[in-house]
Amino acid sequence: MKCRRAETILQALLDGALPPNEAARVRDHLAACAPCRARVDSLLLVHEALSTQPEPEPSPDLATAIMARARAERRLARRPPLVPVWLEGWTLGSVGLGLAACGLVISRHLVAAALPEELTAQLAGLLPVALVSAFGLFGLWYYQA
Amino acid sequence: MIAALARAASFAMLAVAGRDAGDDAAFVARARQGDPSGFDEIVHRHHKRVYALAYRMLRHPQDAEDVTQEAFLNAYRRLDQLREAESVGAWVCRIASNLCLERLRSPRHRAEVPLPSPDLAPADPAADGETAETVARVRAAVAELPPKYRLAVVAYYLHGHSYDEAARLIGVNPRTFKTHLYRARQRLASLLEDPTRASEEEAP
Repeated sequence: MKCRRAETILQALLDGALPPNEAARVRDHLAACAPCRARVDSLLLVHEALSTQPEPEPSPDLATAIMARARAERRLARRPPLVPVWLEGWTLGSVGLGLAACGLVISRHLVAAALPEELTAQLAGLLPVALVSAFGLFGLWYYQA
Repeated sequence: MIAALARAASFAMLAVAGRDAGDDAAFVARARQGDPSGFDEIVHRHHKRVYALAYRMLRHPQDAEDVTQEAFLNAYRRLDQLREAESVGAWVCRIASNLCLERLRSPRHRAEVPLPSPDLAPADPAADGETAETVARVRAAVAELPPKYRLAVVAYYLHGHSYDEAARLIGVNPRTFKTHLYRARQRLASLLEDPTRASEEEAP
């Protein structure tokens, strides 16, 4: 038996996965080959070091966190979409921008008509921002709930 | 007498394994029908095993927890694609293995910080200093192995010292698995014999 072949077989011997006749041949080889005996010692050390490792423990709340995330996914999956699929993406973006522009123009006129002139300049800018923020908060609430 | 006891023990283990597999299939069926407690049970039974695999691969507790969560959520989303419901634990381990390999191969993967990990401590506190140092050196050197070799070592020593079982867990065929495991141990043994040689050694 050649040393190179013996090395592979030594590992099977280590794992108890060698038929008895092969094991006898390896033992004969080992009896006559000092480098292979040294190799067995090293492989045994490796095997022992890896076999006796303590099993790492996760934090106690890991399982609960996974379960909670799975339940959240389930709720989300069951919720009907806020907008139809064909409206998503670019379509929704374009429509949103158009609406925001209209809202800006209309709100400026409404504010200008309803309030004294000194407040108009300040509030006219704030109203569309408030509308967009409210819309965004509603979206966030809808998907988080 | 000893042989009879061993036979009885192995029958008992097979019975327990069979019962667990049956339970797993029932939990998967419940989860598929929309009962969240079915998936909860799957998480409860297998999360420690998946975490241990991820931890040994990534050697970082937070990364290991992230991968464990991601693996279970991926499994949850794809539960309908699982063919062998009784092997759901192995399936999640396989998903986690792939996630670990992806992370290790990613250029953005954080540099591994050598932790004061329980993994590196010798199992037997009474072991003499030299043995303890050797054990710690071998365990630390696993982190230097190429990811696929590391995965083979981790799966084999974590899951029952069986080629077939470990190969199934990480989704490679048993022949390839054996090659990876042998080469990994060859490198580790070479490191013990001569630390400067291990990095140069290329297995046949």
